[in-house]
Amino acid sequence: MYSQHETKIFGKVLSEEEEEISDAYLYLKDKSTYTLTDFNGNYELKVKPGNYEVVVSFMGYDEVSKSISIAKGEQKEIIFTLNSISGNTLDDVYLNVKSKLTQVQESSFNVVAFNTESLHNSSLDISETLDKVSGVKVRRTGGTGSDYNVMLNGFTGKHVKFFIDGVPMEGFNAAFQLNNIPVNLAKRIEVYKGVVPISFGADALGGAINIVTSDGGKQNFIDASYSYGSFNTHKTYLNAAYTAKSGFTARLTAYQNYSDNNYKVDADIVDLENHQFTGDIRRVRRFHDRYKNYTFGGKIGFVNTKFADELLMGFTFSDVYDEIQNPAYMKIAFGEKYTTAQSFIPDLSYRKRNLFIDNLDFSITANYSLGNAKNIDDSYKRYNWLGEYILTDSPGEFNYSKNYFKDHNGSINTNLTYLLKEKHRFTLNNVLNSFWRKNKDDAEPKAEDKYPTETLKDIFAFAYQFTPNDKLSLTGFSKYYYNRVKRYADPNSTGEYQHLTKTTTDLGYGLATSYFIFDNLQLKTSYEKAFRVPSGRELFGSGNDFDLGNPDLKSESSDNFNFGITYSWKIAKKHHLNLDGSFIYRDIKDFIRMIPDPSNGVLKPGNEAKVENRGLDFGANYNYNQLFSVEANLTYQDMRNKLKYRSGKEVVSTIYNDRIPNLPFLYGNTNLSFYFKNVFEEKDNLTVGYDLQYIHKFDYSYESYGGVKIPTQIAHDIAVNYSFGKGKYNISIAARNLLDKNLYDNFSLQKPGRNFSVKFRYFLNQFN
Amino acid sequence: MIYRKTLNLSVILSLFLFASCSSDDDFEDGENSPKADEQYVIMTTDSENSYLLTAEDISEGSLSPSGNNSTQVIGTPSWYFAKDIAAYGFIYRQGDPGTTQSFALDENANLEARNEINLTVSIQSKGMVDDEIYVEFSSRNYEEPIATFYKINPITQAVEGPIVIDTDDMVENGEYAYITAITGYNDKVLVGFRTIKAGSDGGEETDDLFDSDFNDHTYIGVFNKDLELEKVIEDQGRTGIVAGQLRATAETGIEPVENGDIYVFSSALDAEDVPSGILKINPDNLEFEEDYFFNISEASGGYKLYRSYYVGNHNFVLRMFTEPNVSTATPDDTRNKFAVVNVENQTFSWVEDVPQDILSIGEPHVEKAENKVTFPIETGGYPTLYHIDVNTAKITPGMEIKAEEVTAIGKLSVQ
Repeated sequence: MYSQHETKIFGKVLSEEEEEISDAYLYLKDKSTYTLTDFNGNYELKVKPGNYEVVVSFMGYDEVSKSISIAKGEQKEIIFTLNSISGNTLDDVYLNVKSKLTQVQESSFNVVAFNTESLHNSSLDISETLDKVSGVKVRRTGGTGSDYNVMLNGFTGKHVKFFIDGVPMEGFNAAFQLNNIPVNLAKRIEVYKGVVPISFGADALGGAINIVTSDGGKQNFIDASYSYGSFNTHKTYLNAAYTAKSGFTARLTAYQNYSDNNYKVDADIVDLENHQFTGDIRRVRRFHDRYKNYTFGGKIGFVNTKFADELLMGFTFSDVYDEIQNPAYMKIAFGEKYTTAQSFIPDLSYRKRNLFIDNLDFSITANYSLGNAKNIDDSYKRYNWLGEYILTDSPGEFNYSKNYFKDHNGSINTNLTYLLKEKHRFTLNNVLNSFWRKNKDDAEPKAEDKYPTETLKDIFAFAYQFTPNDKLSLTGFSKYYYNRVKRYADPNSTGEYQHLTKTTTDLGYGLATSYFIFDNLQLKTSYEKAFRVPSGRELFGSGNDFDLGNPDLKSESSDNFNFGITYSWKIAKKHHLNLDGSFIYRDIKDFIRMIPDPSNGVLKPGNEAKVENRGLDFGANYNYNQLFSVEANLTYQDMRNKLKYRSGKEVVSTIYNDRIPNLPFLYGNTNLSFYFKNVFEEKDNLTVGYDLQYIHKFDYSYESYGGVKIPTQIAHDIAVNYSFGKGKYNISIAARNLLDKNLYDNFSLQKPGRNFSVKFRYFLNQFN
Repeated sequence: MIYRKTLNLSVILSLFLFASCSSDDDFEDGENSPKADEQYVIMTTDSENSYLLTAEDISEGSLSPSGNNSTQVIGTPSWYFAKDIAAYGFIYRQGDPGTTQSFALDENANLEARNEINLTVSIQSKGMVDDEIYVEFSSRNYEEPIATFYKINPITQAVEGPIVIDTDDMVENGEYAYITAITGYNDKVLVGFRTIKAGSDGGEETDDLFDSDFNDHTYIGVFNKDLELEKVIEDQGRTGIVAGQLRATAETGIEPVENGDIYVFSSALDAEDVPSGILKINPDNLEFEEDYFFNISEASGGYKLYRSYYVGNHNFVLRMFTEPNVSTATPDDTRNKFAVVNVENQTFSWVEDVPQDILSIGEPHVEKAENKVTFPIETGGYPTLYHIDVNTAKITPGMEIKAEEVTAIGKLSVQ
């Protein structure tokens, strides 16, 4: 029965109801050896012979420990049973609380690990889910599938980078994006607010968001759902995984989203005959905003075998069709403009702990995306918001175009970690990213399009983590950024095209520390000198004669300081309160700004802007005895223009020290949930949740000039979920924007009014 | 309120300074005095959006758009004054939020935003034909050789169009017409154009869609008001294409004067060996006059003109390229010199006292009654309205505007 070679403990972690607990954290007290239970609650921990205290912890449950003594070659089975503390199990409450695991692994970074499993009964996509995370604001332009912009500590757009299981999503086209990936695909969303761990290897000036779809290990489950909602919205989802005892695994993911997005908006009706707006504001239905996409993918490989902890090969195919109802302002309605995109993404991942020698962990993940997209605006019709149209002789509703894009994007992320004497962790990481794109515009052929744009980016990083004891962790790291952009371009619009190449290199570095003052009070602080390399478009222009390029651009840089505090308070047996707060400071230099030159009618990027941001995030949650929970978060940003003298000027800029316009600066969310257990049958659960979102009024333009404002907005959502058959069957009903308010994330772009959805979900969390 | 006080003070001061103001009948002192029926309108920006200010006197003092005393316009449109009737903000960059918005003075001489019009295209060329604005954009694709026009009535606000004309057979030289100027003349519409390859050469020699073998030609199409082409007049070898192209946009260059003569200004754009100069069209037969040519390159000592502004009595203010023998459509080649010319006597004078550190120049206003042209000019200090007097050929600073930039100035009257 015993093998003479391995000394280990193994077993299961169960709840008081004898449910297997996955992801429980199991460690040896005063050692840095730890492991996690797999999906079926199993664990295995190799140890050296000796006396230990084994501790098991899982959020929402009381910690359990057991002293053991183990001899050489002995293999000891221990079953742990955990008792839930204050009515707070993973299935019931959506938790923003960091598990001890995340605290240990990522302790020093300013990170929120947002567990999405409690949202798997909702019909949200990832971008809508992100909006619930403290400090994050997602600005959407409309309904299902609409454009979105994620704001993180005041940063938006190119400054926030996205990853899926650690692989950059930067080169992916519209077919596979956060606005169409259902929340069910994510097990967890990690939001790195300032310092980004080197394993992501990103030039993410403003932070990074990582979507974790799987924690590895043996998986056997089926998750299938269908939802129907207002505006003829249909969403279907299927995700299944099978893992044999041998470690062979096969996984399948398929989903589909469809919506007419025909919600009502207030719009000015143009008289098509004389092109005049009548000033007659009417409530009209959107009529050309259909969105449909589907994604299909699979993986096969092996897990937990001798040669690999994980070896997976797979692909993802996605397709999207998106009708464009209006441009970035609501005055105009389109009737025929649309975009489509397809992408095929093969991927490969390999992970092995203790490669060749103990404590040397290696991983490599790679993908290659082949994308096609088109953007068509060639109609001879002109529409108004009533859906009426006239025929004209001139093609193009907005900007006559028949644009076709082809892109190839490859990423390889390689990571090597060595743990020395349980206290010193050395990590080497390299992320190589290549991007190739070719455009073709049949409406107006452009010289730029004769040759493709190519970008090669490599980020090599080294980190050292020192963990002298359970309380303190110190990490120092350095990143080397290399970026090369090749383009056939005419950056100054002189008519002379050349093959241009620009290489940028930067060296970034940082420090992160965390310290547990008490077991339930943690302080964190971190600093990073972060960079963002200029894009091809910024360097060489966008190929028209008004968005010019600037080949002399430097990388943007920022000094990012973060301070965080987390406090977890067990008020009484059934009351539990968690508080966290963070302060961030960003000093951004050489910020790339498109500098408008209205008298010449051009925009030219420059390293002109200087911006400073101070921000505060607060989060709190309280749980009472598996019956009730409250969660709230609030963010305040003070992001200001610190460019005192524009280039060539001797007088102080009239917008110096103004708040950066068109960015929400005070916003928050609240969630209240009530849990009713054993409603009809044993283990039938009813959950009623209420969400409130608040965005404070903000300026569309520089405040010292006055001008229009985006008003304060409050949205109320309600969701009811009934779960039966031990969690296998779920029915959820949700009502969003309950008071039917006009909601805007962007100036004049109205989001959907009151809407409803119902979702049926079958979830079998283990077989085989 | 404070701003209005400052204004009135400056008006009083100007009365002392300019004794030529003969009558103070239409001027009353005091807080509640009605505004004059004529107002200067100054288009300022905070670098991203526009703010409109009005003033009765711009000869000195200072004005600031901050603090809610201005009218906000989203984006930074390109401004065009339809005489003194209305100011139009045309989209110059696709993707900018906004439709075309116009402003006029209401009966109390307050600036009034009128209903927008659904023109979201980048307007490249524009001109007044009687009391209508004709606006236009041309294709740069030989496979789709068209130019699209709209007619806008600034009083009723009605828009007619799109009216599409073919650009492949305006002249039989194998190239495609690209329109750079529109001017009304009696019952005709004179349309200045150049010809370009528009990609038809497959980019073999150069990848510039504007590449042409005919930059030493001057072409004008004579249209009726329904935009039906009647004839094309052409001059070859003396100067180049009708003046004023910046990037894809162009205006000015065909200039009728009081006696009916029409002068045609050319920058000799994209043609190093061709002099910049002025031609004349005979009003009787609408043909170029063979014996009139005013060689500006020669008169200026090697410089080329950019745009022309008619002040009256055959006197024009020219905005000139900064560097000798340079004339391109590229913003990087600056146009920071000014000259005063008399086309009848063929006299040329450089404007004196032009500021040295010019960062940008806005759309000017021509004040015929005062023989001057006012340019918003941005230097190291705040943008300032500079006045060029054609009698003295001198430029003097006037009102300072505390904004990031001033993109245009014009004058509106109560209609």
